[in-house]
Amino acid sequence: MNKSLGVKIKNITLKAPLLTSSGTSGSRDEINLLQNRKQVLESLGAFVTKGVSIHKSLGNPDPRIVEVRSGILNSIGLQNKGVTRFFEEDVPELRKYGIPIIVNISAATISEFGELAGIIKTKDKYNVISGLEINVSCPNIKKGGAAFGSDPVLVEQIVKEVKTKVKDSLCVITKLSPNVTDITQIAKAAINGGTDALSMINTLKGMAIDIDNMKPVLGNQTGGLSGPCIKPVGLYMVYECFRSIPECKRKEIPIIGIGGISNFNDAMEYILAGATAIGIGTQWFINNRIFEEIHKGLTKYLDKKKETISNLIGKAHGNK
Amino acid sequence: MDFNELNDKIIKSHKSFGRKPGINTYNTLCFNLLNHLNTHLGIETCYINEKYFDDTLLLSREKGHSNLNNDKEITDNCAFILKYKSANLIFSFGHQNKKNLQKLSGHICKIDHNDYKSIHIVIFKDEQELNEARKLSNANVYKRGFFTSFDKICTIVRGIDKVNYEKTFSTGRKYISSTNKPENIKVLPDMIDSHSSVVTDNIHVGEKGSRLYKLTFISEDTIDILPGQFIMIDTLKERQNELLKSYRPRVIGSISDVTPNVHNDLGTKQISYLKRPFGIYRTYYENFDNDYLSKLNLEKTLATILYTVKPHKFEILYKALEGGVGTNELTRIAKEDKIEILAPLGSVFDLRVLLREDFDEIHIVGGGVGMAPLVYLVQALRFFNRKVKVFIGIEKYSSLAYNDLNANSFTGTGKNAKIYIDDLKMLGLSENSDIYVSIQSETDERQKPDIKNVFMGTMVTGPYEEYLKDHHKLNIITFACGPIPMMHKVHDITSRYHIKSYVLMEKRMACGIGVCFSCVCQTIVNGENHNSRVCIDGPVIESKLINWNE
Ligand SMILES: Cc1cc2nc3c(=O)[nH]c(=O)nc-3n(C[C@H](O)[C@H](O)[C@H](O)COP(=O)(O)OP(=O)(O)OC[C@H]3O[C@@H](n4cnc5c(N)ncnc54)[C@H](O)[C@@H]3O)c2cc1C
Ligand SMILES: Cc1cc2nc3c(=O)[nH]c(=O)nc-3n(C[C@H](O)[C@H](O)[C@H](O)COP(=O)(O)O)c2cc1C
Ligand code: FES
Repeated sequence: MNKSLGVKIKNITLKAPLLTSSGTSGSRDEINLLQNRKQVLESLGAFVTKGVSIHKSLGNPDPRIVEVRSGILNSIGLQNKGVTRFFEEDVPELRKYGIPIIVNISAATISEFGELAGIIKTKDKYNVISGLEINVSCPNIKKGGAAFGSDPVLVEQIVKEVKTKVKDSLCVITKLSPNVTDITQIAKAAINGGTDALSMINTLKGMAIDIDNMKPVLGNQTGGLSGPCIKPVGLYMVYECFRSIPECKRKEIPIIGIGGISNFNDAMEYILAGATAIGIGTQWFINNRIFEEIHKGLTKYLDKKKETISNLIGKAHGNK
Repeated sequence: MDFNELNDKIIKSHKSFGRKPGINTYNTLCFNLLNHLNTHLGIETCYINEKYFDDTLLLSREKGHSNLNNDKEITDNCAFILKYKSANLIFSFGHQNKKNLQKLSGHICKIDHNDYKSIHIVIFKDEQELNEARKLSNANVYKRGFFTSFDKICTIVRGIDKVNYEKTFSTGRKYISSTNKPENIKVLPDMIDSHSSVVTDNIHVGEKGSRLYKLTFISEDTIDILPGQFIMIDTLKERQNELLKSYRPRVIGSISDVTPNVHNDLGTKQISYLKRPFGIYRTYYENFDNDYLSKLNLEKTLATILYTVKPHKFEILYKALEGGVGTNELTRIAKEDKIEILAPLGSVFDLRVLLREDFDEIHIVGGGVGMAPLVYLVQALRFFNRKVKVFIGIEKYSSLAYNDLNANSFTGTGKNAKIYIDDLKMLGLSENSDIYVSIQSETDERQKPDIKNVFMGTMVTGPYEEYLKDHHKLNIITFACGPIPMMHKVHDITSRYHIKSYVLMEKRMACGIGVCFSCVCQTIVNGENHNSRVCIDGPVIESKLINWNE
């Protein structure tokens, strides 16, 4: 193990600053189907599950995915089997991965977020789960489906609700949506609510229209944009939060940088912008060796620069 | 000798099983087990090479005679010879001297020419040894050889003649490795990986204006893709360019950063980002001729435990969609270009287990390019020597004809090859009684099909329904692939006659490994609604599980 790659997200120790990104790596043992399963698990610092909710959800109508230039639009709609079956069927498998597990949670009301966090805390008898990642991009049914994530008041309430339920037993990460006017406002709200860490960004809203049948391509009309095309946006948002939020700058509230990371170069940019660790989503669909490749790239880079990841977090800010 | 006595002896010698002194006892046990099948399957023992057996334990002796009994090269090096119909099955054991086995395989190939009347079968100890033997590097060691394992022999003997199986083993079993492993009918993909492959052909199929292409590639690694499974291909050839490959991380999304030429070529056109899913049309095995399945005549039950080397060459048949980004990129790929594929993908039903039930006929119903993955299924079914009836629905007959000028693809016929039809004939299907073609257009006079059963102006489901009216009393299983309404219709027809049917589903995919949930289709399992992932819960799905009214 290479010590210079290790980082901490609050109380979670990551042997490398690499995470899967919610919804893109399944929530069970799919990685075990791969020839390079061992290398993947060796390269990963932690595994982030697909979004889990209290009740089973069937997700959105077909088609759920459309390719665009350098990326994809998806409208999966948080399909999952509900927290009960998640614990019965998936958690025992996840346990075998032998790396920290972070559960991405979604809910339709503020109190449901709290309830879900409580359920996870009580059901996790074997301490398989190290953290919760709150997906504030879910539609808020009380507000006609508009996402919670754009309202700082709601975000603060959700984080408080979850934090009250899990106290310090689980690391609470708030995953921010880029579909906002000023992401630092939302980040500050999450910090006020008591979040332990931030992750950003979720997908950007977008759509595609079929000019033959003159209708939106996605069954859900609109979807979320991800992939290489969103990297500059995600990078900027990490940079901006690190720059303007003192808790981030002091590295008290670590940031997990996500959005369009496709290679070692992208990963390093995020770290220099202020991310303590990075998450890879869509690129995992394209390259089953992405984690190994980035791991190798980071190791080589750190060797060459005689540096550690911890030292380089936010380094791009010091140059002016 | 009675069974109790035999058992005693076997137990005693089995304490040394696996080590040199007991190896003949093990050989004898294998032979005895197979011997139980003989009367059930119509197989005869023709020759026993005594040096490999424990004479006192043998349950039976030679009953028939083979023309090979005088061939010293064979009788010296093989363990025993069985005869099924007119075919000699020459057995040897995996633990025999490898050089001798190689010589034996070579010799059998030589005397057999290409008749497949004398075949070499090597029995390995277990699954692991068997898989080792199936590696591509062994194609010329066990030339045109067939493999099986002790475990597999146990499985079928247990299934057919439980009483004698138990007797042969009774207490001896504990000295033999895992023979009671339950068989899984559903096979998940295993060892999925990206493989770099070299394209050997990418030719246009059908008359001018048709959008069908046939692409053949050779993989550098051993991959096993089962019928019904699929692969995902990176369709943009520039991404495989060596120069770009070293830059690959930088250019995944936009090639334009690196090569201005490519940028000019592709302009502002969209280029693919995700890989695209395709079924397998045909696989090829080294040293086995393209038409070997029209000659090979394996005993049906025995066939379910026989294996060859893994395929080294794969073929896909694809349609370049109008405005389709990935499929049109694929047409630009030339001979000797490299492509990257992710394989094997998809869960399927293990035919070897499924076919333990003896079906009278297996029906294949394919609509348009949906026929493509079914041809590979037919290939497997023919290996298992099953009776297959194929129902094909196409728009125009002329869309099937093409000039296979390279003549190095499967049909090898050079000019005027016909996609599907010629391939099915090569697999041993008869154009008179096994292939039923429905042609949608009323008049397609320019090229009259040379098949007996042709139906004009109808969809494939019409003639299929007619056929079932007369044949539904048979024990049938049906596989269908094509447009959703067609598969729905096939489901309706087969369920009316209580025929079990499977469909091969198609959905838009991103990951192919079950992690993104973009490829779902609605299913009903135990009364509960599900969105099943086609890539991992399918693509082969029992038709009654699908919610056709979604
Ligand atoms: C399991 C499986 C096996 C297949 N086997 C074959 C085969 O053997 N031969 C063959 O010609 N085609 C096959 N297809 C369909 C083939 O994958 C599509 O035609 C192809 O992906 C279209 O890509 P495109 O970029 O040209 O089209 P575009 O329309 O440009 O593609 C845009 C997006 O839609 C998806 N897409 C569009 N049409 C389909 C479709 N019909 N099915 C799945 N995804 C689609 C693409 O993957 C892509 O993400 C198979 C599909 C699946 C799921
Ligand atoms: C198919 C798909 C499903 C996703 N599901 C979730 C989810 O359940 N919860 C969540 O917080 N984010 C989800 N995301 C967002 C990703 O985790 C990630 O934030 C986003 O895709 C940007 O990263 P990328 O460009 O590396 O993919 C999903 C993204 C994709 C493409
Ligand atoms: S393609 Fe990703 S789950 Fe099927």
